[in-house]
Amino acid sequence: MAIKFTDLSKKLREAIETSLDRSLMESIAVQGASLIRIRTRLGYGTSEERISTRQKLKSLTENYVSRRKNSKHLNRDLTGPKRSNLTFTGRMLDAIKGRGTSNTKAVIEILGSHGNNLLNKDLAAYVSAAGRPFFNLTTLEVKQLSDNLRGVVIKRVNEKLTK
Amino acid sequence: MSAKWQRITIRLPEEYNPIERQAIGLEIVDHIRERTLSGKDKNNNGWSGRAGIYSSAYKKFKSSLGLGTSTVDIRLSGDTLAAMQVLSDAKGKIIVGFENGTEENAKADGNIRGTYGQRSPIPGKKRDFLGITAGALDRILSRYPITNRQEAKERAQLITSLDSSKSLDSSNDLELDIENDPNTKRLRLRAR
Repeated sequence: MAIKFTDLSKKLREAIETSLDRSLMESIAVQGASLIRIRTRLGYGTSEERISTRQKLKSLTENYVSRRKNSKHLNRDLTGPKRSNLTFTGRMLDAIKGRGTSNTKAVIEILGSHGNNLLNKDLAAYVSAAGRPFFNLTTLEVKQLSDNLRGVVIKRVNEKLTK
Repeated sequence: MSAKWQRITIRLPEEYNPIERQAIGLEIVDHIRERTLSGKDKNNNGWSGRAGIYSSAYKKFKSSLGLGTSTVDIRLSGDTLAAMQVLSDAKGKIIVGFENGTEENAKADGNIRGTYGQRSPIPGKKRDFLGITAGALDRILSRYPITNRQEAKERAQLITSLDSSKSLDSSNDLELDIENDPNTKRLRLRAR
C-alpha cells in the first residue's frame, strides 16, 4: 500500500480527522454500551469513578435472595435468585444506550423510566452508591473500543491517502 | 494448576527497524483477532469436532447476553482477545501474546490447550488461535516492502500513530478519552 505525500504529519492529521464521523462515533458508543451490559450480566462491575479492571459484584444479601426466589417477576433467562448481576427484570441494563453527538464525540447513557417515578439512571446511581459500581469502562473495554476505532480509521485513511 | 504463558515468536526480516516491527506486530494482532472472531484457528481452518460447537447450555447462556452462537469465536466479554498484544520485539523477531500471570492469559491458555480450568486438556476441545499462517504474514509484510524503505516507514508511522495502547513517541494521533460525568450520569467518549 503506497502512501504518497510530503508533509507526513500534517496530511496524516488531516486524513485522520476527516475519517471520523458521527455514525462511526455512534457505533463505538453502541458497542461500549453493549460491553457494559454484558460485563455486568456476567457479574462484574468496575472500580468507582475511574477506568479500571473489572471487579466481581458484591454478593446479594440472604434476605434479598429469598425475595428473588419467591418473585414471579425475576427474569430467570438472565439471572438466578443468588446471582449478583444487577438484573431483576433486565430493564435497567437494557436501557444502557450509546449515541454519537458529533464527528468526534459520543455518549453512553441510561435512558427511560423504571416505573414508580424512578428513572433507570437514578436506579443505576443508587446501586453504584450501594457498593456495586458498574457504569464505567474498564481498561480492556476501552482497548476494545480503541482497537475498533483504529481499525476503521486506518481503512479510511488508507483510502484517502492512496486516492 | 497454573496456566502456561501463551506467546509466540514470529520471525521477520532483519532489515526492519523498531517502529516497523511494532507496526507489523499490531497488524498481526489485528489479523489474529479478526480471524478468531470469524471462527477460524491459527491455520485459518474452522474449528473441527467438539471444538466447533458450543454446548447447548453454553449457547443458551451466551444468547441470554445478546451474543451470537452460530460461530465459535472465543468471545464473551471480549477481554481475552483485547488483551492480546505485542509483548516485545528485537532484531528479526517479535513476540505476540498475553501478559504472563494475568486472568486473560489463563483464559487464552484454557482455549489454546483445551484445559478450560481443568488439570489436563479435554479431548477435542482445544481451540488454538494464537498463530498466523505464512501466507497471512506475507500479506502483512508486503505492506512494508524492504525494497522501498520510504513506503515501509510511512506505513509504520501511520499504524503506530493510531495505536492507543503503545506509542513509541507517546504522541498518538488518535486517542479515545472517556469521562464519567457524575452530574448527567453519562459516559462521554471523545476521539482526538
